[in-house]
Amino acid sequence: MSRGSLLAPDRPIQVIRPVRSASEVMVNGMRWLIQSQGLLRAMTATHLKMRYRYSFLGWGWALLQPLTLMVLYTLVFSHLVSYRDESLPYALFVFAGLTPWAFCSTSISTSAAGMLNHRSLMATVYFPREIVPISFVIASLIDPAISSIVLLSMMLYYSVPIGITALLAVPIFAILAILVTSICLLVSCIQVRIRDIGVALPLVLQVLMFTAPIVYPASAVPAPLQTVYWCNPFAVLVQSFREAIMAGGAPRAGDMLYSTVIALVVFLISYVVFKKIEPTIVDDL
Amino acid sequence: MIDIRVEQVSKRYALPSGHRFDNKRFFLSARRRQPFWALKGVSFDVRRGEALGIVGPNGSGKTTLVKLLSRVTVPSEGTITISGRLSALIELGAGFHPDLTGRENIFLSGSILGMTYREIARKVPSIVEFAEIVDFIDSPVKKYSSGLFLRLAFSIAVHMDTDIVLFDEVLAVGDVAFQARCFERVERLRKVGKTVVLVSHDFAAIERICDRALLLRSGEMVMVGEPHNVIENYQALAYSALADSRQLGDPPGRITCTKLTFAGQTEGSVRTGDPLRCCVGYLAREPLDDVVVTVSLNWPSGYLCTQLSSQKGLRLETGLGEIEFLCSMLTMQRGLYSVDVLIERRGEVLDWRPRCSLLRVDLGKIVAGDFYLEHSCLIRGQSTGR
Repeated sequence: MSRGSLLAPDRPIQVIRPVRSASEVMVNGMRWLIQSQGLLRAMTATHLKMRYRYSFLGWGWALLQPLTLMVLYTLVFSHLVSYRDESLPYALFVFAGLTPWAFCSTSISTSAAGMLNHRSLMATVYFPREIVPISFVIASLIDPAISSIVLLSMMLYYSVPIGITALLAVPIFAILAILVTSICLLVSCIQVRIRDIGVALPLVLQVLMFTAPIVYPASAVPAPLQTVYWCNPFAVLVQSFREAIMAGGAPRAGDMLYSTVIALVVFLISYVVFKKIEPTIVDDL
Repeated sequence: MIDIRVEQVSKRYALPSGHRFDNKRFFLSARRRQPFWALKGVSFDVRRGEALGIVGPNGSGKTTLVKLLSRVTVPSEGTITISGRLSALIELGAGFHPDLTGRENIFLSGSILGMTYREIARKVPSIVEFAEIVDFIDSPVKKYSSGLFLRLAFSIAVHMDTDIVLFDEVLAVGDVAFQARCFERVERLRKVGKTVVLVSHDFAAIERICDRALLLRSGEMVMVGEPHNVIENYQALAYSALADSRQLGDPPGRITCTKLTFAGQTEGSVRTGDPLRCCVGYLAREPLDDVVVTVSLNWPSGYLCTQLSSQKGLRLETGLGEIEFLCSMLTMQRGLYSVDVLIERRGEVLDWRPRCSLLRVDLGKIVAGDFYLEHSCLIRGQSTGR
């Protein structure tokens, strides 16, 4: 008798077996992910609920954190480093850079720890594991949402004109989100096997922050290094974000294309890697 | 119709070597690290509406099998095909988020099982009612007592609308009343045609709930069949391992039990309802008086079922001898009983042989319940109605 005649056709059939090819992984994985939107939503909601629960200031922290950083960087860098980009007040400049960066670092650090934090859950039920890092990325989107309100108020205060190009911040953020999601996927699954990543991550993030024009203007980068500097999609995206909002200038199409392609390629690679490791990830938790 | 089909499934784990730089071997495939086979070539089917029990000693691969069935991890070899939605109860409440309230956890657990928000919302009242936690449903679960925690977890699991339900050693939780309701619930699941897989050390539960049982031993399937037979086989396996280490006759003391035999009416078989003769052989190295010999028969669960005892102190002379116990009727239910022998004098233990033998009681008189009660029946006080 063939398998088809034995198993009921009226119910969803799941086949559990060792991992085969990358294409199988992609197709099945994507289908499962789409079926599990409800869980993605529930888990994201959980992260948001848990974030400031039991803390006295609650969501006040979401404002306090970027503001503190802004004040700190303004105090330190606006005096020590020659800030030549006179067109923008430094506080505004740094806050516009910190907004996309805070999103990156929060997503990456929370999702890296996320797998281990959800150990007991993962050890008892199956759900597409990528939901864990992805839900952390989505939950981290709340930060730029709050920051942009502050950013807009600051622009009004400094009477910097808000142009129509500010709307371009949305697609720029979308590209950034894809890039960050890929990194989160990679970091979270490899971190389960190589715990060093969890230890090194804060350090790496710190270094990464200084490879993008966040606290200093891009013009401060020495001319010979400029080509290498702009290879970093983070640098491109942070710069484009700031320009779109503050300078009223549309980002260059080439830049956008470059970062989109990079983001998609990295996403594809990390998703396949993640899916390859996923089935046995619990064995190492 | 087959709901679960397991074909030649094996699971290999790479044993960590404990070496500090072992993490570098992440890049090596598991094949090249030291392998440990938690399951080897296991195949079986579970039909729709059937209840399958899985038994076996610790470390026999029961939990690995459950993890494979629930997709938590994948087999290294072989294929598992599952038709329908499956919910698994492995370690109650492990999927809970301790800081979320009971209600929030219900939604989280439900969405993990693929239910929509609306479906879950409809079930919340009955989940809460079954778990008897109405007053605590909006407190974070980390504040729950362990009983409360377990009740909620169990309640969520049995209320999820899945086709197949998997229980891993979870029915033995909660207080007596809750346990009774758990069983009731499992039986109801069976009545509505759900497929049940039950992993348990509770033989009574397996016999009561399951249609078939599967015995695992060091990752391999020993047998699958009628629960009673499978459990007897399992016990025989377990006891033989125990008995080997305690040979009758040594070490020498003032008196040692040298032999223990049971005989029924027919050759080689002891049956419910038959007379039973039990012989305890001894070797006394000095004359002893006031000796009491007790033979304890234990349930499969390990609890004492009944005892044969010489009661009055016996006077035993030096040398070999036999003490015979006679029962006019064996009233115990069929099954495999483990036997302890105790020889003592005025409270002093001279020889103590726990689980030194097995008594296998075969089907004789049909008994429902634990033992046969000798009885008769007659009509009395009937009016003729004239």
